[in-house]
Amino acid sequence: MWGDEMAREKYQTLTEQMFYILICLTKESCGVDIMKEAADLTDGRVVIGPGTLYSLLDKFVKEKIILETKIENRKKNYVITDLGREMLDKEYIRVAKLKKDYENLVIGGADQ
Amino acid sequence: MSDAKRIINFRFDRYEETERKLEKLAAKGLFLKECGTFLWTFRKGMPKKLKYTVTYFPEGSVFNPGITDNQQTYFDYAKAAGWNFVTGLNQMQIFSSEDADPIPFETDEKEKLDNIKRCMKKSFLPSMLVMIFVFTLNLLVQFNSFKLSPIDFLSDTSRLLRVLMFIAIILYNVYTLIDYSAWCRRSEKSIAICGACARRSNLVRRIVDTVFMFFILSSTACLLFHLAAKTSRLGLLLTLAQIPVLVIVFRSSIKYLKKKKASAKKNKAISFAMLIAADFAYVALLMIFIMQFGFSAGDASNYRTVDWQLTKTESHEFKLYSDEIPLTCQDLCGPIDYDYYSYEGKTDSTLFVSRSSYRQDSLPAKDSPPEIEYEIIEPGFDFVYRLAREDLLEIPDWQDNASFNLIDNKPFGTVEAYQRHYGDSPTGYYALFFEDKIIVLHMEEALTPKQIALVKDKLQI
Repeated sequence: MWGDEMAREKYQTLTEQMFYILICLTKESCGVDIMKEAADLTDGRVVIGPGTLYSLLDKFVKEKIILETKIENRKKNYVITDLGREMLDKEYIRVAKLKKDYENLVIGGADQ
Repeated sequence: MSDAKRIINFRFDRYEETERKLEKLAAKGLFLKECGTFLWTFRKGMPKKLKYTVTYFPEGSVFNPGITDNQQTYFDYAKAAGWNFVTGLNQMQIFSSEDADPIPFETDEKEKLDNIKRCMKKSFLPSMLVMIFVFTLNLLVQFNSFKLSPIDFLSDTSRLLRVLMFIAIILYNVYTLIDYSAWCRRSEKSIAICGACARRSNLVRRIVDTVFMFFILSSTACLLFHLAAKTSRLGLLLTLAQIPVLVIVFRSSIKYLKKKKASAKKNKAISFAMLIAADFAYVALLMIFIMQFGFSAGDASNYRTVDWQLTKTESHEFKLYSDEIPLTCQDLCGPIDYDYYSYEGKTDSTLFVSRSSYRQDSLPAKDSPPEIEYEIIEPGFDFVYRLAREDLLEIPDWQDNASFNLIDNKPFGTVEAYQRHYGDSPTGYYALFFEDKIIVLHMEEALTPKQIALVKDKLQI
């Protein structure tokens, strides 16, 4: 429980790379697939370097944000945990609020 | 094609500099093959444009029997991004890519910094702290020996040089630690405002590195030069070979255990145990060598050996030296019919003090002729004079019957003069203090006025 609290505390906001790694892991994937998928999903805008990917996956596993499922042909597969899902949802709500605020205060304000 | 060696002065925070250097060498046809502590090996080939990246992998270790599963995963991610593993040393891993614009290895500066910090905590920081601890311990041992006998210490060039080297190494390591923590702080600040890990201020660091290397190399050269004059060639060779021999033992042990697929923990424990055992064995061998052959430079013309019968059944080989000494027993007592006197004289000079020690010894026997021993100490500084005075006039606790009694300054022309007494009886031990030098005389009996005049004349007091 302490570890979960720590993870929540630590990741008040997620970086784009963290966000896309977690999105990719809503279905079971291996590291190499995550790299490709993140680049495809964002048309190359979000690129995750191999060193960063390794560090983040390692950290996420230690903090129980994702779970190592199996090793297939030497490839490690991962999937998001409930804690990871909760963090992803929180991030979605945060970003959606940003969007709403922008629409209300900037776009709406310009119309007035 | 053959391989080429290059000296690469790599440090954890010099990755960018090293990457550029490797790229330049590849453009000249030199491709990194293996990296060592200082000497890196390059394969010669056709010049090629390559990109290099130097990264850190926390699990990396020279003790690993092979590539670990996690390391393989790391390599697989790198391969998928177009990076091929070249070589590694401990946690440092080097990759190259033929792509002109490959995906950067690290795309999150905070993760990169965290990773570097994690790796440094595992190897760099402990090794620095161990170095500081070991050299501080060495320094304390030296300080203890200074306290025991300040003049012995201050007149010994090799000990002074060693102390200077220890201080330089400690300061350099402390500076490196401060520099590392400053780099971490600068990087954290930069990352907090969406920047990258801090770049090195190369100039200051380079000046410090150059000054340190220059100092260590020149001190080592001085030390060797000094030892070469005082020790035999074989003795010097044995002393010099100690570090290379220990390195070879340590590396061979790691290599052998890796071959035998021993775990990293087992390899580390056994190799360090081997290193310690080899060090003890080497020191023991050195001691046996010194006991057997002596350690000082053998100047055959300066001494002759005599096989001397100590008892009916026991004999011992003695060296009889024939150094020139300014004052002899014959000067004080007249002609002595004896062929086995040994005359020794040596002068040790340093910035702090110059000390000349002389002795005339006879061989052990019931009716052996008189012996004499004396020292002339010329301190270069007031504090050395005070230290020498304090040290000379100190009487060990176990000699509770001995005392130094002030004597008249007139006979020797001193500013302060003492004669050692045992109970009420005066001895032939004098501590004579002049304006700029101290003379210690150790005779078998108290001197007569005539002998005092002779001493003054011979020692040019």
